[in-house]
Amino acid sequence: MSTCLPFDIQVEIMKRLPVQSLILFRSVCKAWDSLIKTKEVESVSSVDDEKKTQDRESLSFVDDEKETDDQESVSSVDDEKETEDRESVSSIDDEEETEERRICCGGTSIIGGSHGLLCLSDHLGDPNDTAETQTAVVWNPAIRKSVAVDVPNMLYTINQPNASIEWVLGFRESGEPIIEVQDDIMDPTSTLGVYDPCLQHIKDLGICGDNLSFSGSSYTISLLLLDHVDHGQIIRCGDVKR
Amino acid sequence: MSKKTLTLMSKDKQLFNIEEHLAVQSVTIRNMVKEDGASSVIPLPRVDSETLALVIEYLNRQQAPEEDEDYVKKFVDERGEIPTLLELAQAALDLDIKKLMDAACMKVADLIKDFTLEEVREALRIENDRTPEEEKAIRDEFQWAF
Repeated sequence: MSTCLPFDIQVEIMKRLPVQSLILFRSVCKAWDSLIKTKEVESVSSVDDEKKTQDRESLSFVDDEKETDDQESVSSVDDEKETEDRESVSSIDDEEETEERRICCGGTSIIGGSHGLLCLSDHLGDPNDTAETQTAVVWNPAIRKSVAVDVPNMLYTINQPNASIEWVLGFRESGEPIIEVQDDIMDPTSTLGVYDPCLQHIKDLGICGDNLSFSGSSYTISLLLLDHVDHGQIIRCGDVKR
Repeated sequence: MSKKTLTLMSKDKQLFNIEEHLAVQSVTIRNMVKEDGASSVIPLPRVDSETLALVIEYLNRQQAPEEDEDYVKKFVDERGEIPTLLELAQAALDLDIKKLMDAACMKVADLIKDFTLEEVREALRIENDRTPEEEKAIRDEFQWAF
């Protein structure tokens, strides 16, 4: 027990710690500090490794119509809390939201969050538009740092002759997009689906609502926020895990 | 045709036999076998006999690939002591057995995630190289996160 633990093992353990612990553990020693400072880059590039880790913290996105100046607000939601807690987070007024940090992102949208990091981007655009190049920014709210990452033009084309795709709401961890599908052009309602690029098939999630009423633009592991249903300020939560 | 057996030697000179087709789950051993046939004893100077026995137990598992994930998780869960897990992680890293290394480190991370700084240092045998003033400065910077 006398000798120090080899640093490569320390690094492997660090990689698997939740962000919240890492912030505190910066103070463990200087080597940890300097490594953890660059950690947000690392945890993104090693997504494969971390896929198996359970999210201790996920970030969800609340689009509030009362906000002005194109500000969007972000709240932290602890995944381990009970569902009631999540709902209360969704309904709390901005002024009372103590955990909330605000970021200014004019014209930028939040694609999703995982492991305490947020992925931001310009408008996701038409999924059929192959020419669009975008820059995504990965932001770590915990240490207020961000990295820009290049996004490939296009990974696949979704081809659904019988339905029109209204909107891409976000992406699952495994990469499948969550999309809003309108089956009939005359139909005022849409359904949510997940596109599976392997099977080239859109799987219905069984959640439907008015066209373009799905404005929750972030997808966390199991939670999707749906905004202003019935033109009110209601936020519905739908489980899109399955 | 009888299955070929390899002999591994721990730090404390204990010998362990293992069938070659199981041993080559370790990339390190696989490369050694490829290079020189590894007919003699393979020394593992950084792995003690207790840990090597665990590694061999893991390599000898009879598991269908789809059950492997659960098995390795259960395997490390049953050995939930941090010092044992660290030795296991070190051995798995040296021998390049990725799944075992992943699982052991994951388990350690899980165990220490709510530890205090002092507990982390003790568990991972890390020396504090900061003065209390430096520590305070960091804490002030990230106040809201604590």
